[in-house]
Parts: sequence; structure tokens; C-alpha cells
Amino acid sequence: MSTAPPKLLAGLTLLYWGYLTGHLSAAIPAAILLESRHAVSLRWDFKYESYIKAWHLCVLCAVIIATISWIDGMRIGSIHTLFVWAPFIFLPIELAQRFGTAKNIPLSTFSFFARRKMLDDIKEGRKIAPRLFNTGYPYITIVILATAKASRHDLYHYVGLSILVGICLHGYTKNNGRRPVAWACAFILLLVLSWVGQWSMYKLSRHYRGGNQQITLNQTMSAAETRTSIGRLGRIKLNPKILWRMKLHNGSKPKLLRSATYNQYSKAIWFYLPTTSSSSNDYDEFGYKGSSSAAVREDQRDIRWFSETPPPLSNEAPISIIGEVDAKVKEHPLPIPDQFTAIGDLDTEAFVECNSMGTIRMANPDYNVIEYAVWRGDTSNTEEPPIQQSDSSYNLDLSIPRHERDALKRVCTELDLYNPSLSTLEKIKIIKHFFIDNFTYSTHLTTPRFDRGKRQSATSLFLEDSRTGHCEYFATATTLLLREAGIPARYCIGYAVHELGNDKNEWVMRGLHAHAWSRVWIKSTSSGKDGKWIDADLTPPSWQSIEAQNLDNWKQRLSDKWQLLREDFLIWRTKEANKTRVFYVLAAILSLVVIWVSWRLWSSRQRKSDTRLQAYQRPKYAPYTSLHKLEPLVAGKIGRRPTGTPLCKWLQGLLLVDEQADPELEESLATAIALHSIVRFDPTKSSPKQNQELALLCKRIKQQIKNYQSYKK
Amino acid sequence: MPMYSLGPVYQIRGMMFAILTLSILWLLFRKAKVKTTRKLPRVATAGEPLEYYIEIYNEGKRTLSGANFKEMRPDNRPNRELFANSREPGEEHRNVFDRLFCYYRWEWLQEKLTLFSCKPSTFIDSLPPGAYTKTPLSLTPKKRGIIMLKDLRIFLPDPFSIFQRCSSAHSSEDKLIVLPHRYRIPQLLLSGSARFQLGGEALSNTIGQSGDFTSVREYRPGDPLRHIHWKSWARTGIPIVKEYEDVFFPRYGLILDTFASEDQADLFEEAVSVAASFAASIDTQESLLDLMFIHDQAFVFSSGRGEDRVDSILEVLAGVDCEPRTDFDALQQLVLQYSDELTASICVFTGWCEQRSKTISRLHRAGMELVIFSICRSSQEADQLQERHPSPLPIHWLRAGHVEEDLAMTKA
Repeated sequence: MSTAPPKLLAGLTLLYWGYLTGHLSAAIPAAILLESRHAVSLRWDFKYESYIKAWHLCVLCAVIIATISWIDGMRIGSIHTLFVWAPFIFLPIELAQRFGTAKNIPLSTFSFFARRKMLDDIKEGRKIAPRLFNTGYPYITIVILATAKASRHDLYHYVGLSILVGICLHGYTKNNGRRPVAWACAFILLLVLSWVGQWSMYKLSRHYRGGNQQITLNQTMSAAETRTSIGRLGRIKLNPKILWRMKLHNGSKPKLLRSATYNQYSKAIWFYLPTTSSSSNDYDEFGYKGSSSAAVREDQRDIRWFSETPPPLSNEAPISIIGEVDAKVKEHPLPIPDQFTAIGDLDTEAFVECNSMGTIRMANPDYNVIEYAVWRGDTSNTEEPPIQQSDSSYNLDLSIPRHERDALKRVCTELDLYNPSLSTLEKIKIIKHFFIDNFTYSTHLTTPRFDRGKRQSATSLFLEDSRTGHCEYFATATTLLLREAGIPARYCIGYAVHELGNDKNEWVMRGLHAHAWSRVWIKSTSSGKDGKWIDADLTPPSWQSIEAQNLDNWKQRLSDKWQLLREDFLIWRTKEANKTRVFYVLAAILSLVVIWVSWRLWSSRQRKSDTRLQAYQRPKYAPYTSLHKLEPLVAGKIGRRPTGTPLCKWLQGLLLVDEQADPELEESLATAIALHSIVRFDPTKSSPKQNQELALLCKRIKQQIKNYQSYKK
Repeated sequence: MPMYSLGPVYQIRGMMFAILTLSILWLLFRKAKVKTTRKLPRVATAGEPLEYYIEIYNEGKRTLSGANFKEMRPDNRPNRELFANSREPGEEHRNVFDRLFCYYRWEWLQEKLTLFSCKPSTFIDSLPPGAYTKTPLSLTPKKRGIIMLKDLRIFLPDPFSIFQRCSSAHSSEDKLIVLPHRYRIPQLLLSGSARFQLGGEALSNTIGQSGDFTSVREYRPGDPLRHIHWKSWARTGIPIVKEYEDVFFPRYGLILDTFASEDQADLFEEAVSVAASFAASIDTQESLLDLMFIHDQAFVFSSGRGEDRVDSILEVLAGVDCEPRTDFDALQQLVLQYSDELTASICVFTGWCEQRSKTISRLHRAGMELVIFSICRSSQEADQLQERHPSPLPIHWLRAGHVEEDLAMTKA
């Protein structure tokens, strides 16, 4: 690749990148800078070392961009997303190529080891022949790939890609024997084939990837629904990474932190169905409501509650929670303890809302890592009691899927859960002992693979047949059994709190602490309140010890330390005062680098006219003569005129085509060349008569060439 | 349309796949049947580009367009034996990895075995069936010798010029003699010059009488009969002959040292180039040149007035090889045989040793006028050699790779 791309192509590609990735304001100045090469005469005679410095500048840009992204919360595993900034990372070397006087740069510029080897060879006196190349087309390729990484419009991307590829191919084939008709046909075929090809690749990829996905606990979870792995074969993947940290300032430690609660079950999916009654009009049509507008204290601390009246709150929040909101989890439900009353210390622009099940969710957080405070009271003020749907007598908290009923009835009969004399707590105890005595906890399911249609009876199979499962099985079974026994119950997911962190009052929740349990309505015996919701975790207690294995190794400890350091830094960085400090420091460093580079470049600049060796530039006012018009015809006979060959000398090659040259043609050509030289090189002394004579002569020569039949058959 | 976040990536993949597939498949339909003839000059010079033409005749049924030609060089891969037994100069200074895998030795051997490099010709726009045209080609011989050109190829690229089909262009086998590379030679003032003189002490060597008629004298036995002046004999009664001016031309010797070992092959090449440079620069209209060297036997080639042209000496130098068996005595004898006729001699040595020093001493004692050039690798090596084996005459040292600049510094 030692040819430069056509003019304006790189600038056009940058604008295409800017438009499709939403960074047009950055792309425009960069495109202008690149293409200004054709408008200004500034050039630099860069030595080999200068290109190396330009490459080092590219590396520095990459480090700066990675640092800024990391500060903003990007994870190391997502570093590939930085490729979208590749056009700016490689901009310094491309500018060096464009504004340097060298046509190509050595490939060893990009490798420390290659450079060192070259220096060793020079020192040893060996002959070196570095490979040279032009960065034009590779830079355009990088910009196109970066666009594909983050493009927002599929169709526009395809159209732009086709145009750019067409221009690249057109420019590349210009001096490589392009055949216009063949090129056009091939390009049309290319567009069709690529359109068909991308669909085929997508289908193929989906076909081969679809069956081999690893099961993850709560593999898609949101505040609205959770898809359990009930009925799926294989081992549940347990992530040892720390997801949340809880700092306990006062009060007792909650055993469980609830992320979301659901009330409707169907085919291994639990989801939330709004249960707003006609009396409550705080909830929107999706069943969510925002925090109270009066939620702020006198000292301007951010505290929010969802009840009509402000709950009693202590000055210091008993619990604070730190963690990273997962981009894959929609609407970011936040883990909260039981008896939740208020949440606070969030970013002022953060928006939180709550549904009737008590699920708190955050919409579009500014930063990946967040810290928030939680207040607790005697009872939760966000969960509505079990109520009927407004237009029917159907209680969602008692609903059971039809295909599960038979098995549930059998088990309830066996356990005597229909007995009216038993209280709710007693029934819960019975189910608990039933699970402990007869069931086994396991994350590895070896039961035969269920077909799609048979997954609906997975819970039944669990209760009556396999009696082996993980927390989702136990939680679902508990919820459904209690509902069958006439007790309102809900399904919850969240985390179990039982691992102490590095600090005395800090508890960590890892992926393998993710848990599911039931939420049960206990009717109140005293007057006043109807009752309350309590947690009923009936998964055999042995599950915690099973998950805790293989945690104690140095790799995990190192990973934990790094993660905590990162999160603490990100929390520190998001505070208002610190945001400004970090910005100023980065801006200062960047400004110093830019000033230093600009000063060095300005002091070593050259004008384009300073270079001694330049390509021949035809004088603007040099006339074209009739002899020039013969060039295409003669080129068809003896081949194109090579670069640097004068026209007259080249035309004489016509006489060498045949061994017996036509004397008439030879004479006419000689006369025409003489006249042409006068007209071309001394136009002031040439007369119109000479021009006419030349034109007539050229006409005759043209005829002679055609009749001459230099193509011998 | 695929998923939002993946669509553009699949588009790029689809485009790349389409370009590659289309380019490769298109080549199946690109065919050409051509016959070519080279219009080569007889000789070329090593290191200098040679421009020549090829005549192309389209024997196919379709118009040929978008095609170009290139001369393919012979296979320059070393065989196993050569690779195993060769050592790249300075290989011992390379790192362990390079010494183990010997890639650079392979590269060095390939470069050594490469006879020429060739640029592809310009593209032919359109050549109808049954028609012919001419196109120029450029070829740069890498080393002296004889190059057999027998593999001219036609390249037929796909519309996007990603791949190309390479077919034989059906040409005859042609031979090209590559003369040694020559350097610019400084002004050397060698003794003797062509002049007309009548007798006297010969400072140069006569080659015959072709001057003007000056006088008559009595016949002496041995005088050519055509010089008899019949009218004078008739008047005087005794044979009288005409006397003319003698023309004297200097005769120079160019002594080439061919005694070089395999690892001195590069020095030998430089020595040949230096010898060729002298041969090309001596004015053979006014002098004679005798090239002398030993290769299995003694060889003497003369050029100049009445002899062969200097081109023939250059052609001889194009084909001269090293003589592995050192025999400086034979060289001495060869040169001494012509010592009386030689005005001055230029000796070009491949290195320096005791035997070369003795040869020069012997020739110098015989009264020969000598100018000595010796090829070395570095100035330090030259100093060491001269110190070890002193020479009775000054030596002009020429460093391999810097010959031209060292020649420019030479003063006779």
C-alpha cells in the first residue's frame, strides 16, 4: 500500500464517522485539518525520528482516552469499545504522513523491536531495506471500522460504506489497468453480494451461537420481569465478582437485600403486573411512582421517600450501599433491605421510582458506580398489601398457573396445608421442614433436557420427582405452595448478606450471593394495620456453604482489591468538587502537550516551494497544440506515454512500430514537431498561420496513422 | 436487518467477503492468448536499469485490455546444501534466535542468487484480436554475467485489482550479457602517449608506420619491398627505399587478480568492476590495452587500434570467475612475458598478502611501471595488511561498498 488515497476521501470518511457515531463536532475540525494539506503549502521535512515521535503521540492519545474512559467508569473488559475513537488515536501519524515531504514512511516506525533491529543492522554494517508504506488507505480503513463499532443508523451506514468503498476501489484501480465497464459491473455485483452476504453471516452466526450459551442465574433481569433458569439443563454460572457493598452504620444487619419483587408466574418467568386500585392514583400506567416532591431535608441533603407523609428518619442513614449498575439490567433496580422507608445521597439529577411491590429502580444513572443511603423503619412503606385488581375479584398474589395446580394440590394435601387451623407461620415452617428433609440444593441439574413445551411442568417435576434444584426452584415452589394454601405470596430476587468485607461494618455481595426467596403476607392479629410482608427464605441453608467454596485464592483477593479501589475512586470522582479538580488537571496536561507539539512543529515548518525536487507542474498558460490531441490515438498504437517522457520524443516511437517506417509519416511528424515546439514553448513568437499549419498537418498525420495500419494482421 | 448494535459489523464483513469472492471468481473468466517478442540490446550493465520493448501479438479471439507484462526472474531459492554450508557475513553477531532459524541467511542467499529485478510494464488499454503493439519494460540486472530471459508473463487483474491472473506470454528465450558495473575513474597520468617520431629512444611502443613520407635511403635487408623507390634505383643503380614517420602508441596492461576465495567473492566483484572501469575509460583510439588474468590457464585479451573493441574486454570481464587455486607465479610469468611491450600496468588486487607483495616486487624489479589498486573491507584492515606485508610501491586502497568515493580521492 504505497499509494496515497484520492483527495478529500479521508476527510469524507471522517465526516461519515462523525455523523454515524454522533461525534460530528469532533469530526469536522479533524477532517478540515487533514484535508487542509491540499490548500496550504506548509510542509515539514520529517526525519525517521519524527515519525516515531508521531507514533508515540498516537500511543499517548490512546492512553489518555483510555484513562478518561476508565475515570468515567468503563470496565477493563469493555476496552474494545474505545476503538470508536481510533480515528483520533491515529490522527497524529496520519497528519505526519500528509504534511511530511516523504511519500512513504518505514513500517518499522510502529515497532520498537523492528527499530532496534534496524539500528543493530546499521551498526553491524549490514544493508538495510526498510519496507515503506503510505498510511492513507490504512487510516481510512481504521475510520470505517471504528464507524461500524458504534454506528447508530444501519441503513445509512451501509450506503456510506458502499460509497466509500467504491471511491477507494476507483482510486486504487486508476493506475492499475482499470476497465470502466468491467469495474462498474463488478461494483454492482459487489453491492448485491455484500447485502446478501451480511444476512447470511448473521443467520449463520445465530445458528451456531444459539445452542451453546451458558446459563446464568437471573440471566435477564429487570424491574419488570426476571427469566429464571427453571427447567434448563446444566450448571448455573456463579460469578465471584463483588457486585454490591453494604456499610452498616447502625442497627441490625439485614439478612437479605431485595432487588425486585414479582407477582405473576408463567413458564419459568416471573414478572410484575401492576395492581393499582381505584383508590390509589399515585402510580402511572406501568405501575410506578416517583418520590415525594417534599423529599428534601433542611440541610439540603438528598433524601427521597415514596409515602405521602415523611417517615421518621435518623440523621445518619443506618445503611449505605455502593455498587455498579449493570448496563445489561434494564432500568437498574436497586437492592434495598426489608422495612425500607427512604433512600438518599443520590446524584441530584438521578431519578428513582418505586412500584407497588416495593421495587426501587433508577432510570439512566449518570455514572456506572453509585452510592446511596437507605433508611429503615418498622415496616416497609413502599409495598402495597395484597389487593384485588380493580375490575375483578382476582388476587394476583394468589394466582397459580393452571398446569402447576395438580402437583401443588397434591403436595399441599400431603403437607396438610389446607388445614384452616394452621397459621401462616406454621405453614411456612411445615414447608421449610419439608424442603430440608426431602430436597437437595444443587446448581448442577442433570435431569433430562426439557423441551420447550414441557418446561411449564418443571416446578411440578421438582416438587414430586427430582427434588433437586437451586434457590429459584425453592422460591418459586414456596410462593406457589403458599398461594395454593390461600396465603398471598410474592417472588423476590436479590442478594444474601453473609460475607464480611475488609472493613468491620462492611458486607459484600457477590454474584454467587444472588438469591431468590418468597415474600409472604402475614395478617396482623392486632387492630390497626392489616398485616405486613415478611421474607420467607426456605432454600436449605447449606446453599451458602456450597457457594462459598473456591473463594479464598490470591487471584480473587487481588481482583476484589482492585475493584474496590476503582469503585472508591469513581465515587470520589463523581463528587461535585472533585469533578472540577480532575477536569482541570487533565485539561492542563493536555494543553501542555498540545502547546509543546505545536511549538516544535511551528519552529520546523517549511513551505512547499522550499523543496528542490518537485513533480513537474505544467505552466498554467502553456498552450495545448493540435499535436497534443494525437496523444490518445498514438497511445492506442504504442502504449501510454510514460511519466516524464516529453511528447515529441514519445511520438517518435511511432516510427519504430514497423521496421520499414513510412517516409511520409516521418516527414510529417518531423515538421509537426518543429511547429509544435515553436507554438508550445514560444507562444509569443508563433503566428496564427503556424497554428493552422500545425492543425492541418496533425489532421494529415492522423489519417496516415489510421491508414498506416500499425496493427499488423 | 440484523440487531442494531451488530448490523454495521456484519455489513463490513459482508462487504469484505464479497470483494474477495468476486475478485477471485472473476479471474476464472480472464484469459489471454498472446505471443511476444523481445527487442533487447545485446548488453546491459549491472546495477543500471535497462529499457527495452516487447512486441505483443494478440492471438486470442477477444480484445485484450487492462493487462500488463513482467519478466519473471528464475527461482532464486538456495538449495539445501548451499543453505546448510553457507554463512552470512556477520552471522555470528546476530542473536540466538536468528542464528537458530537462519532466516537472514536465507534472505542473503536469495539476494545473492537474484539475477535481476524487473518492473511491470504499463497497462495495455486495448488490443484487438489479431493486432500487435509494443510496450516498454524496465529491467535492472543485479550482477554481471549472462541472463537468460525465458519467462515473460502476462498479468490479468480483476476489476478491483485485488488479485491477478498470471499466465505465460509465450516468448522465445533471449540472452542478455550483463557487463560489470563501472565507476567513474579519476584522471590517471600514465606514462606514454601516441606521437609521431623518427627513431630515438622509444618512450612508447611502436605499432607500425603510418606517418608521412620524409626521405629516401639505401635499402637494408628486411625493408618492405613496397617501400622501394624505383625511380631513384633507376637513376642510382642501387636499391633505394622511402622512409616514413613511425607512429608510436602506448600499450597498457590491466592485470586482474582472480585468486579469491569464496568468502572474498564480494571483493572480487568489486575488483572486476574496477578493472572494467579502467578498461572502459582508457582511450583505445590512442592506446592499446591488454587484459591479463589467470583462470585455469593464462588469458590475455587485447583491445585498441587494430585489435578488438573495448566492448569485447568488458564482455570477457562479465564472465570472469574466481580462481580458487592460487598461482601468483603463473601471473608473474604472464605479465613478464609482455613486460617489454607494456608502457605501464594497472594492477587490481583482491586483497593483499605476502605473495601479492612478492609479485609486485618482482615486476617492479623488472622495470615495469605499475599502478596498484587493492580492494579491502575497511581502512583498518588495509592498514593492518600493509603493515604486515609492505609493498615496494604505493597501494591505492578501495573499500568494498565505497569504491567510487575512494577512487575519487585517488591521485596518480
